[in-house]
Amino acid sequence: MIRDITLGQYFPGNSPIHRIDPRMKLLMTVIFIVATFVASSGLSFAVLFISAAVLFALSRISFKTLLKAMKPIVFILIFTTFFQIFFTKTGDLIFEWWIIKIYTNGIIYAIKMFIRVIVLITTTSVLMSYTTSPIALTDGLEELLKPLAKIGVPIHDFALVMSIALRFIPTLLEETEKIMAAQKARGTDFSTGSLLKRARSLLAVFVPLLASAIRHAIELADAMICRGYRGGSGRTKLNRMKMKFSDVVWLVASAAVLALCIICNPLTLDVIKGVFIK
Amino acid sequence: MPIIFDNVTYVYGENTPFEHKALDGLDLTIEENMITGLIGQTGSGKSTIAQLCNGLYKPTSGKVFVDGEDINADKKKKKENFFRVGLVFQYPEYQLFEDTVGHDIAYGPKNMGLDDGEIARRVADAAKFVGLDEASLEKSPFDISGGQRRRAAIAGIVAMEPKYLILDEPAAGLDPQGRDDILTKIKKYQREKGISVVIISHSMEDMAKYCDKIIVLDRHGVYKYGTKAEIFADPHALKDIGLSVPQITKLMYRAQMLGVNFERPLYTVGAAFEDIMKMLDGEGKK
Repeated sequence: MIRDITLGQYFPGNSPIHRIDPRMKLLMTVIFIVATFVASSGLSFAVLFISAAVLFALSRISFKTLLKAMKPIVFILIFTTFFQIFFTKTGDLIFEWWIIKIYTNGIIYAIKMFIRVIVLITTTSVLMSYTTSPIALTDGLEELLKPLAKIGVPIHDFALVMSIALRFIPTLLEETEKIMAAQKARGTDFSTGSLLKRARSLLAVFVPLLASAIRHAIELADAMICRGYRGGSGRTKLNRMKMKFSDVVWLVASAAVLALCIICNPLTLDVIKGVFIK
Repeated sequence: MPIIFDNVTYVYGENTPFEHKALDGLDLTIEENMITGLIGQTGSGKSTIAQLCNGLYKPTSGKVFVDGEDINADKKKKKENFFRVGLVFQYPEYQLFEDTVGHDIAYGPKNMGLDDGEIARRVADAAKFVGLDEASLEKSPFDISGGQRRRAAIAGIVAMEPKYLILDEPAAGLDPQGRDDILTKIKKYQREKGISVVIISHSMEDMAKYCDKIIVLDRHGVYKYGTKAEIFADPHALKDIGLSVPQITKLMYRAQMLGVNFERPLYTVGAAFEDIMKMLDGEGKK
C-alpha cells in the first residue's frame, strides 16, 4: 500500500530527539551529511555508525519503521555494493573464480559505502522526517536562513512554499490511494500487463490527481487571501523557538563527530603536513 | 444471494502508531433484491464496510461472503469480484479521467474485456439511466457541471452491470433537487433490474424515502437492523447513538403527544401530506 512509504512522515512523540530545537536538527543533519562524505578511516565510520545508532535508539522509533525507510534504496545499496566488490582492482587478491576477482580494497570500499548510506538515511530520517513536524521544520529553516532576507532573498515565501508542499504530501498520498481504489473498483490492473498497459493504468490515477492538486492550490490560495495573507513582512509567530542548553550540547557533539571525520581523513593529514613542512 | 459478513474485524495501519480498529467482530447480512440503507455516525465504519464488500480491503480477521463464496479465498477471482460488486465511492466525480464522458463510462466495461458492441450498448444504457444526453457524452469530464460529473461517475459503475451496487453517499454535496433525482433514479434502477443496492448515507430522510431495510451502525457494530417501522419506533435510542429519526417522524410523535393520531406511522413528507390532507378533509365534513 502507498502508506508504506514512510520517508517524509512525522511520528508524533516526546523523545529526547523530538525535543531538540528544529534549527539545531537542521544544522545537525547538514553536519552528518558532510561527515558521512568526509569520513574515510575506519575509526570515523565506527563513530558515525555509533552516533546514528544512538540517535535512532533515543528517538524511540521502531526498527521496523526505519527498515521501511530503507526499502526504497535497497536496490541502490545492493547495486553499489556489488560494483565496489567486483570492480575494485586494488589491494590484495583474496578470491578468484573464473572471471571474478575480489580484492581486499573492494570489500573495504563496499563496507564503507554501505555504512555511509545507512548512516545517511538513518540520521536524516530520524533527525528530520520522523521526529520533526513539517511545520517545525520549515519554521526552523526560515529562522536559519533569515539573514539572507537582508540581501533581498524572499525567505518567507520559500519557507511557505516548502511548508505547503510538505503539508500536502500526506493529503496527496491519501488522495492517490483513494483514486487508485476507485479505479481498481472499475477493474484497473496496476500490477500486471505490458509496460504500455501499465502506463495507461497509471494515467487513470495521474489525471484525477493532477486535477485535484490544482483544485487544492486554487482553494488554498483563495482561503489565504480571504484571511488577509500578505506575505512575510510584519508577520509574528505564535510559537517562538527558544534555544535550550541541551540543544547546544547536541550541536557540539555532532560538530565533534564531524571534526573527528575531518581529522581522520588522510587528505586532511596531507594538507596539514604540507602546511607544516613548508 | 446475500452479502454476509462473518465476524469481520478490520484494523487500519496495523503495527504503526496510527493503528485504528474500524470494525470489531462484525456480523452483517445485506439482503438481496432490495435497497439497504447503511447509516451511522462518522467513524462507525460505513465506508470500510463498502470496501470490504468488493474486496478492496481484506478483513484483518473474519470472512466476507458474496454469492456464498468467500471473496478473499481465491486471489485470481479478485477482479471478477470488482465487477460483481460495483462500488461508487464518495465524491466519485474526482475519479473521471478520460478525454470524454463516454469513454470514461466505457472504462469499466472495457476492463471487463467485453466486445465493442456490448460496451456501446452498456454505455448508452448507463447514460440513459443517469440522465446524460448524447451531447454530454462527447464532452470532456472537466467541462460539465458538478452534478453531471457525479452522474457520469455513477454511470461508470452502472455500466459494469454489477449484481450488487454499493453507493457511498451518492447524494452528498448535491442540491435538494439533484439529491432526489439521483436517489429516485437509483431506486427505479433497482426495481427494474432486481439487483441488490446498498446506500450509505447520513440523511435519515433519504433512508426513509428510498430504502427497504436499514442497518444502523454504532461504534461497536450493528446497532439495529430492520424495516423503517422497526428502526424509527424508538427515537430516543437513536438519539443516544447520535442519530435521529426523520424530521417528519419527529413531528408525528410530537403530534401524538398532543393527542393527534395518524392512521399509519409517517416517515416521508409525501405520506404525511396525504394523511394530513385527509384528516383536514374529514374535519371539514364534520
